[in-house]
Formats: sequence, structure tokens, C-alpha cells
Amino acid sequence: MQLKSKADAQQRVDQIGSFRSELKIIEQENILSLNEDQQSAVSNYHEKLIAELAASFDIDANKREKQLSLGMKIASFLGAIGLAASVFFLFYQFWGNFSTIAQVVILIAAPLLGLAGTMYASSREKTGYFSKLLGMVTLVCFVLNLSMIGQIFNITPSPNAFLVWAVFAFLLAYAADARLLLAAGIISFAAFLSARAATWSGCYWIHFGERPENFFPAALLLFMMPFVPHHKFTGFGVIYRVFAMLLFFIPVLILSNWGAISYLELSGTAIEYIYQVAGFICSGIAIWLGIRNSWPEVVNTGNVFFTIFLYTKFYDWWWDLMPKYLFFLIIGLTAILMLLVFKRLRNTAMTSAQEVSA
Amino acid sequence: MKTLLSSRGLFLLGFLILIATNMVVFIGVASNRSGEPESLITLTEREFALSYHAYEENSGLRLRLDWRALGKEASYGYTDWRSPLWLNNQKLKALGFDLDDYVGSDSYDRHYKKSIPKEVFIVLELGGEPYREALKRAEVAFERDKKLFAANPEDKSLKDSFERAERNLEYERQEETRLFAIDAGLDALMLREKYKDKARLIIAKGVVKPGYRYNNKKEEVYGYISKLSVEMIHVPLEHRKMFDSILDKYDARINNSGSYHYQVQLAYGQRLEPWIVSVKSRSNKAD
Repeated sequence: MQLKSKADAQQRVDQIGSFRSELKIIEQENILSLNEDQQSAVSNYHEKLIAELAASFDIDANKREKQLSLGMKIASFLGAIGLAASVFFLFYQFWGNFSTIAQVVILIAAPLLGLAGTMYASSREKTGYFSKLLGMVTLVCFVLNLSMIGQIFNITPSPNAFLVWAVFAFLLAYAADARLLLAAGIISFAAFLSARAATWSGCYWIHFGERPENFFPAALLLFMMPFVPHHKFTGFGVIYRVFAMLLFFIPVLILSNWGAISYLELSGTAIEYIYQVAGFICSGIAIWLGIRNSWPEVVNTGNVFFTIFLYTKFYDWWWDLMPKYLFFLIIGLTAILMLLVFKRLRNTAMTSAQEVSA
Repeated sequence: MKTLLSSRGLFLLGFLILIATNMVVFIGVASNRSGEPESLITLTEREFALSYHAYEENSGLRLRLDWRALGKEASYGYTDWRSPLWLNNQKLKALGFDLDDYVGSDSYDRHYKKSIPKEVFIVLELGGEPYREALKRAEVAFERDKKLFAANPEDKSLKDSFERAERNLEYERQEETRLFAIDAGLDALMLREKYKDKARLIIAKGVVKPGYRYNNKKEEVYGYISKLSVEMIHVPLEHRKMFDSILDKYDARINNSGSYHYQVQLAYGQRLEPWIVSVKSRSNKAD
């Protein structure tokens, strides 16, 4: 069996654990009993498989390892953020005391050395915690590299800096299988594409945030990204989809409350209505799409935004008209109604699953 | 292709990105500083403000290019220094702003849609006619308030206005910047054809946008220069000594910033990006 990613390997190991637990119960209930040869064959097969997977991927073979692994992930995340911030402030603290040549050499050398360190750590360490940590520091060094050289030589700010930061972050993310770097790449890429979208309408790029529709091309492109197979990379598809949805739904939410900042040549109120309807329809589609494709993150994000759109409308309609107890009663009842709808959807899904297995 | 997409291949591409990006940046810097500067101008502490706030965690030093634009003088003596008279509807249209359904629209919120800032080329003049006009306005205000106060010496508000006008005139004569935005356009070469004096006139990139206001119960669109694209100029280590000695002597309790005088030669290159050529201290304001 060919497993491509750490996530697939971990899923297989978890499956073996569940199988062992279930088999134990079945044997205790006297429903099935494997003879010694069968037990030893299954056990040997599983042990061999776990050993092979452990050699290829950094998997957690049991519950205790899983807990420790989570702790290491949190420590690695905090370490990456802390070290990156430290590098940033360290340079700011002393750079004024160096000549221009020394500043330039330090700024160019730092990301190169960081990248060499990340590459070395990645080749030596199977778990990848240190390569991810070093990768984040390297990205910050590169951000510092371009932004400080921009300051030193008084260069006119350009959105292209976001593009090269995005490309670099993506390269590091895919090379080190690091989700934090992928998120940094996505943010930089979204900033670049949104700034470009702003310049298409003649706007000065730094003001791209003043027209929320500038974020839509980036949202669409990022949502499409996981359609390129990402089996080798743990959780990359989830990150792409969640960021894409945030980049779509947050602007829609803003425009549904403040239509005047839209590109559309309609009255502010008409634009707000359009985006309110779009918000409901698109969050509904997201929930449907998520259930259909087994994307829990899409279902959850769709749910959150559907609820926000709904409650924002309730607030607009009724906050001033109703006594507060009645307003909150409606909120509570709506939540119960949504609960019932989801329960029904869940039951339908279970029934169809049973029909398929039958 | 498979090798390129391997972890090692991606890291090697990373090295390539780092080197190529820095090369592009330095080619840009070199091309900006190549040949004769687009403008070479000598400014003083009036136009090049030194920040006296100490940033303990940032050892770098930058000077702020102080500029203004001669706006409409309101009846109560206030001048809008970012909304020049010349940046009228005609000029805004020439800069590419669509103002057709802007004024007189039923919907108040329309101006948000139209008010998209644009980056254009701005001409800045040192000590020209707009500065003389600003000085004249301060002198007229001073003479008017002086007469009013002389006619009613007991009136405290007239006394305050007179003292304020006196301070304003002194500030305008001695400390206020003499660098004024005098025109804007979409073509830097055409602007340079029109404004030839490279020792007195800078062409720099800046951000312009239309504003919207009620003036005498009438809707009015006005132009507004929000900033220059590069307004903070980095001071390299070789020019820092003089500024560091000023900052060392600065005393926040008595605010003695007005007693330090210097001049800075500033060049703008082919890409209209500035750099400091030289700095020199002056013994007094008249130097």
C-alpha cells in the first residue's frame, strides 16, 4: 500500500488502533475469536506496517505520543513566531549603527543563511519541527531584506514585494510541509492580487482595502488551488479553502452593511441588499458543497457566516423595534431551528450511508 | 520536473528567488542613481524635519520631507495646506478622476465610490510664488489683528488673536516650510519640460484624491494631496554625525529644536526616488 502523506500514514495507524480496540470488545462479547496463528499474523502485519510508516513519516504510534506531538507542534509554532519577531527587532535595534554596505550585506545574507539552515534541518530531521521553525525565521529575514532595502534606498513602495514574498513562502511551505508558512504565503499572495485588482480600477495600490471586492479574485483562485492534488502535504487543502472563504465572506459581510464602498454603479442600499442575498446563498452553497465533498472546514466556515449574516439581519430589523427579551428569544429559537435542520441533514446522510453499505 | 518539485529542488528555487529579487532591486537602485540627477535641491531644517522623539528600539534615522500646498483661505483665516487651489475639477479630470456624476448626486454616499486615490507626479517648488503668498497672508492677518487690538486694547480675545497672528507671522518667516506643491500630472517628462529649474523644482510621486464637502450649502468636490509616495528619507551613517549631535543637545523640557540649523542636498534620480547627497550645519537661520 502506497501512502503519500503524513496525514494518510497517521490515519492508517489510528485505524489500526481502532481495529485492535474493537477486536478486543468483539472477543470479550464472544462474537468472534481469532486463533493464535491468526492473531499473530494480524499482529505481525500491523507491527511491521507501523514500523514502516514510522520510518517514512513522523507518526504518533499511540495516544501518549500524540499528546506529546501536539505539545511539540505548539512549542514549534510559538518558537517560530518568537524567533521571527526577535530577528525583526534585533535588526531594528542596531541597524542604524552600520554603514550602508554592512546593512545591505546583513540583509541579503540573513535569508540566504536561514534558507541554508532550513534545507540542512529538513534533510537531517524527520519530524520537521526545526525546519519549519527555521523556515519561518527565513521568511521574516526575507521580508526584512526587501522592506529595509526599500527604506535605505528610499524606493517607491510596490505591491510586487508581496508577490515575491508569497512565492518564497510557498516554496518553503511545500519544501518543509509547513502550514504556517503556507498561511503566510496565502496572505502575501492575497495582498498582491488584491492590490493588483485595485490598480486595474486606477486606484493607488496601498488603498486596495478600501474596495472589498478587490479580494474576490484572490478568494476564487485560492479556493481552486486544492483541486491540484495535494496528497503529499498535510492539511494544505484545508488552509487554502478556509483562507479563500474568509477572503470572500468577510468582504461580502462588509459590503452587505456598507454598500457605498462597492465598485457597483448602484445606490448604496441596493448594493447592500445584493450582498446580503449573496451572503446567504453563498454560505448555503458552501455548506452543501462541504457536505457533498466531505470538507468539514467548508461546512463549519459556511455555518459561521450563515449565522453571522442571519443575526446581522435580525439586528437590523428588530433590535430597535423589539424588547430585548424577545430579540434574544428569536435568536435562541433560530439556533434551535438550525440545530433541527442539521440533525435532519445528518440523519439523511447516515441513512444513505447505510443504504450504500447494504 | 520531478526533481524541481522535490524538497531539494524547491529549496534551490528559493535560493534563486532570493538572489534574483535582490539583483532586480539593486539594478533599480543603480538605474535611479545613474547619470545626472533628475533634480538636485538644497533644503534646510524648514523643509527637512528631524524627529525629536527617541525611538529606543529603532536605531535608524529618517528625515521627513515637509511640504504644503496653498489652499483656499477661509474667512476665519484658516488655510487648507493639503488642498491646493490649482487642484480644481478640471485638473482632477485631467488626472483621470471621473467627476461627472459626482456633484449634485442624490445619494450622499456616491463620493465614496469615486474617491479612489491615484498615484500621480507632483511638482514641488522651493520658495516660489506660493510661499510669498503664504507669507503675505500671514502679514495681512497680523496687520488686521494688530489694528483691531489697538482699537480695543481691553478686549482679551482680540489680544489673543493679535498674539497668535504675531506668532504665526514669525513662524512663517523663520520656521515654516517653503516647499509647495504647485502642479500635478500624469507625465513626468512633460512636467519637467514645463518646470525646468532642477535646483528649485522637484518632481516626485504622490497620492491625490478628490474630497467632497458642503461649502455655503452647496456640494463641492475638491482635490486633496494625501501624501508623497516617498516622504521619509533615510539618513545613511556617513551623514548621521551632525544629526546625532543635534539630538544629543535637544532638551524636550525647553523644546530647543528651533535653535539647530542645517542644510541638506537632496537628489532625485531617474525613477524619481530621492537620496541625501550631503549635509552641513548652518550657524544661523539666515545662512
